[in-house]
Amino acid sequence: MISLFLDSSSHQIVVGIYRDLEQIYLNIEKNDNQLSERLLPMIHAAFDAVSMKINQIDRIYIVNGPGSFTGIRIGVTIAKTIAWALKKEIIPISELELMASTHTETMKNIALIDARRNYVYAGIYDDKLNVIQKNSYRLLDELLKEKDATFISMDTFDFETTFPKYDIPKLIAKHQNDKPMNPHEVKPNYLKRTEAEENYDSRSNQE
Amino acid sequence: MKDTYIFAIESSCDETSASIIKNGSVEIATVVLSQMDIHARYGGVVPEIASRHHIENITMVLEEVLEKANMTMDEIDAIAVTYGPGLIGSLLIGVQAAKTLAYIYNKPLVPVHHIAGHIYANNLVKPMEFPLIALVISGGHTELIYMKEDYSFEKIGGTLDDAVGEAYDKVARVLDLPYPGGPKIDALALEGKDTYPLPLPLNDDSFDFSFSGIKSAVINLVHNEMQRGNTIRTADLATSFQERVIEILTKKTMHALEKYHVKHLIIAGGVSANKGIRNRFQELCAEKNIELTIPEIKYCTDNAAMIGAAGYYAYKLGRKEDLDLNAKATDILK
Repeated sequence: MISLFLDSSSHQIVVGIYRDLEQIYLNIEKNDNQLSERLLPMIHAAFDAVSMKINQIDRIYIVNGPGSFTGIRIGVTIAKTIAWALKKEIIPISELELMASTHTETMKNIALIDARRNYVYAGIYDDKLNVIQKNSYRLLDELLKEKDATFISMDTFDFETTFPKYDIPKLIAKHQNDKPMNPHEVKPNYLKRTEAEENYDSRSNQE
Repeated sequence: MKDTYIFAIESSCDETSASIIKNGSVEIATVVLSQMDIHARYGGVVPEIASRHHIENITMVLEEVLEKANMTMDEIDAIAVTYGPGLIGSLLIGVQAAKTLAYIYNKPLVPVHHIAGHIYANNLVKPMEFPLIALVISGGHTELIYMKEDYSFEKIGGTLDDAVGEAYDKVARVLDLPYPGGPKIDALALEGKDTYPLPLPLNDDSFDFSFSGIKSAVINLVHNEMQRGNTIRTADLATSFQERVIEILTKKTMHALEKYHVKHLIIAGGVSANKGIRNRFQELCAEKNIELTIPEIKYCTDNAAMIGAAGYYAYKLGRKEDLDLNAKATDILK
């Protein structure tokens, strides 16, 4: 089974090609504000580098957030368009789980993305990537009470964090038996509604 | 001669649309998924919500248009897409989808300016004759464009502030009319009388427009009348507002036709669905022997059919882009 692995939702862009659990190509680049221009050429370059064609893949693993709303949408649009057009399998993966694939010395790993105003996107996983606490948008303070855990993040906080080092084969091993989704139904996992929706609902509740 | 099929995508605001157009003038199939009902409760398009709906709908729209046309991507000659101007988050969905299709099917990728699309909607009605003047009026644009020949655009005037459709929406809000307010003002304007004194906006010899002044004049008038305890005659105010808008649009457009010695006028964009504006232009053009084309209502609002029509001419001129094409929130039509 040949898989394309894509992530454009964070500070790093990931384009990987895997044969089962074996990495045949991996490119991780810093995500700047040129993502919209760069991502497809990066995918094109990946297949050229290994002398393969995009239609030789069997499956796409797409990281669908949480993270930058625009970043997520660029990757997810490309992934679902490929999966739909070429009739390939598609499996969404959480950015927080990707971060939590980092090897640590603890049994509990907390992946964190700064969501500003003291809020974070957080997911808690054990060392085998089993979910201890599902992904959520929450106040940072409550999380800091967690004991014997490694905090994994690309963002800067005023406590110690580990910069993520992705173990993509570990992630694929964990998800290779997931049921593929219908590409039409793949959507971003923002974990947060838009401000307009929140304001509208709080106004409606007051009335 | 072999037929040319363009697969077009448009997602610049709150419509997700795909279309297949033959030879720049024949609509094979079009799908438009509008989010208008979703945004109505917010009183206007919320960009982040629009982006979120585009990404959920995009592949379904692509699939539906192929099914409707009973075609496969192998039969397509090029992929055209609106790259701008528009809401950046919305544009990005269409641009990424178009680039992905161009990449996996190895087809030329043709970027189309949204306004070129609105103008070429007319080509789906009947072949455009040059030279012509195009008046583009929508929620985001008010522009006068001189076209010497196919796909040559010379902007001779535009709005200095609000677009005409934007002014309609804002005036509608002051009059407590639900979104989208343009069609409601148009309907009320047919019932009312022109009794309120409103200024004729940017009444000069240029081809530029300004609609923020008349919008403010309406807001102030409503405010003052309410302070005096007078009720607003909504239909009359709608008529007075629409009359000024029609007067300035027709004055500058007819002047442009005269100055450029042009006998063909086309009107494009969402606001060209306005009956008051349509009727007045029809009268004036008949009087002055100007040939007027206005697309059907379904081609006035945003749709991919118009992008496919414009895309055909852009493709013939060799306007192709690589996979690093980006969306642009603003860009000059050229």
